[in-house]
Amino acid sequence: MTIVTAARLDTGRRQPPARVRAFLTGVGFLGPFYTAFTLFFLLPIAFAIYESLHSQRRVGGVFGRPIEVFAGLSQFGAVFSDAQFWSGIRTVLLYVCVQAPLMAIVGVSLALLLDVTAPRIARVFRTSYFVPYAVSQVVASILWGALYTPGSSPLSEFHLRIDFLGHSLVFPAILNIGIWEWGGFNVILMTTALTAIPTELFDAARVDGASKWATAWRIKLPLIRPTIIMSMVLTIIGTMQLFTEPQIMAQISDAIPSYYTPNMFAYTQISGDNYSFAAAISVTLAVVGLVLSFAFLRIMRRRTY
Amino acid sequence: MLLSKARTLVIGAAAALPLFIATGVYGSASSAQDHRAPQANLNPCPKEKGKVNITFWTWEGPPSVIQHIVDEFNARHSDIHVTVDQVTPGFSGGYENAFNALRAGKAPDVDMIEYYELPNFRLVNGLYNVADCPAMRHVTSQFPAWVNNQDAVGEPGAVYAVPEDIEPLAMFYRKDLFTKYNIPVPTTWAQYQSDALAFKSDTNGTVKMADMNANDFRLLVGLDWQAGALPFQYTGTGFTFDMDSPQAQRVANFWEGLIKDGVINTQAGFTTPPEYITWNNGTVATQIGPDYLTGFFKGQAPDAAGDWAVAPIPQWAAGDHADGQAGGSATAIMAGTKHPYADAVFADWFAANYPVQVQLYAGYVLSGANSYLNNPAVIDTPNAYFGGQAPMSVFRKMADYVNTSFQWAPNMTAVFADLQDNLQGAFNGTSTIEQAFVTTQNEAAANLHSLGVTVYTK
Repeated sequence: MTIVTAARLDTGRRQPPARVRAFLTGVGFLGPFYTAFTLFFLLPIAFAIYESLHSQRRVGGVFGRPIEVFAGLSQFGAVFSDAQFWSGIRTVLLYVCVQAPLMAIVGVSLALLLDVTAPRIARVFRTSYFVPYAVSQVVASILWGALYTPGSSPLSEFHLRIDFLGHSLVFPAILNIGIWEWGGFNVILMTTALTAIPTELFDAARVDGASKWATAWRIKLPLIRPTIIMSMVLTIIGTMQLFTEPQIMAQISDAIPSYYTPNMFAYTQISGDNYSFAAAISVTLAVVGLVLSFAFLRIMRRRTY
Repeated sequence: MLLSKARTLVIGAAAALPLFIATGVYGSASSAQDHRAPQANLNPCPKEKGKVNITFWTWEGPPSVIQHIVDEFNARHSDIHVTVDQVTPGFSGGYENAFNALRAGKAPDVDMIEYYELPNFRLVNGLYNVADCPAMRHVTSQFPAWVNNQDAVGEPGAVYAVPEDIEPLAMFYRKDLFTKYNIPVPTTWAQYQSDALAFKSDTNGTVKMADMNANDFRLLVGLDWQAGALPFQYTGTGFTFDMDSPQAQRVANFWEGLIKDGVINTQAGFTTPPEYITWNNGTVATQIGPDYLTGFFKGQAPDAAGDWAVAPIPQWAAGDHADGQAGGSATAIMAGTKHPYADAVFADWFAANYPVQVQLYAGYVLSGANSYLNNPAVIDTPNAYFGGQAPMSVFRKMADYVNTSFQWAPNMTAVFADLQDNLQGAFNGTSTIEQAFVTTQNEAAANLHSLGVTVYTK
């Protein structure tokens, strides 16, 4: 469209050739995006990689002048041999294994229920599921933290003293916050996918005498399969980066170390001004997350076809 | 059982790794470049012409009181204007902000920094020595020597910061409970332990002697300080960690014993909501803590008004007078400031006026200024919350007994984070407090080494 318009206007001798004009138009449209993309996405990543390849030396004693020197892959060596890093990786992998399927089950089952509920009632439920998603993660963590704290927890009214913040229950306690926050988002994803299914298919199913259960199992589920997979990939990526909830809860729980998740570990290292090591942790985590997501997609695709 | 075994393994691995580094790498780290002695860092401090604007970061409260002090400063100084930014408390992310701001060249001119964190700011070359500024000429005579030492950050004669509050430790105790069960208020740690057992048997275990868990990491270092431990030492051009000294072991084993005796509530950590509940409902008999806790008690335990009182901290030997600190902040002058003259004038003013104003409006901190410490009219003001007792007079007395040789490590951010992590094992029974000290020492040494410092461990 652009090219046609440009060609028709190209009558004067001094006008640049159509190709150049088209190129400039393209740059005009894409420029703002790529500027922001470069500044806030590519450059920070490049800087993190640069930092991860350096280490600090010091001239003139403890409070001397710090200098950055090229250190090759030694920071990555330190990351891979760090027990705290692996402890964090184990923790988030455990979260992924529980959270990804659990979130998919919650999202799909609630969406399927909403799909067969009267639209007016369904709308009310859909909104109420979605409300926690609108609450900020920090606020959600503080809120649940108060509910978990022995003494201020409503359970203490019934003289039930369950230490949700203790060593044995802190994992499900944080998991629960995640489900509460993101469950509604997943329901909306699934609902949207369900409404996109052509109604003829349901008519055909009804004519064939399929029960509601059979319709859900044989038609709806297979057709929203790509959405389920996408939502699970989102959960995997999000869970690998788990940070806010445990970081907030660490203030009231003494079962959450500062290296509980790899992101918390990186944050702790930055707090101690150890940027190069933190950068190496971040880069490693990004690679692990990428590999996991692609591996998951691969496996799922192979099963589909 | 499996879990605890795995944890022990992880802790063991974490402990072994830095040890390896310690023996393998540190020897070569003492490089040829380190022979230069720390240079005297004197900066010129000219008075500028025209009006100067400076920025002050603080999280000291109440904000309205701080604003009031600064407004008064601005009204009296036609050539300097100070803008206050209320920021996140240091340990909750405020220091990270300041470190990042320093890197970006956007640091404030003056910043509130706790004593323990000052060396960490020097490590990143983030502080500015204003010793040569006219306003600082008499600054050392205005504060006790040990407070000045903290602000010089191991460089005699330097002034990197001016003290705000000091936080010696004392013992808050439930007067009503001690009276009710006829238990003597402890003056020694041995008596503290026998009292704890008495409370346990008299109340069937419902009244614990104290709250303590991994969140008490800063308090535990303060207790080390009181016991005479010197966990952090500057050695020539390098640095030495000595966190497992006999004094530190004494502290660790004492509290370890109390936990085993079942007289400590380990579900409530230092200044956390679970702890406030115990302060309120009479399930805990004592709280070791610094003077700023007086404000916390008043605000967080209103139900127990009149029940709490303050006594000197128990001693290791009867008749002794030893103490340590847990907290305390200074107004630090930041590297990159273009107005050292004005910064020094403001820091000096703030030190002199802050205590009076805060005492007036909030009444909960002990200032480091001699003019305040030697003013009985202010110090001996009775406090209704503490049943008419003047808690600051107790803290004032303890301030004279603080061990003056104590110094902080140049990477306290990492040390405290490690200590808090490692204490978690001590309080869930998979490790011990002493083991937490040892592991922390090794991790902190590895961290400081990675920042280019020559590190030794004892």
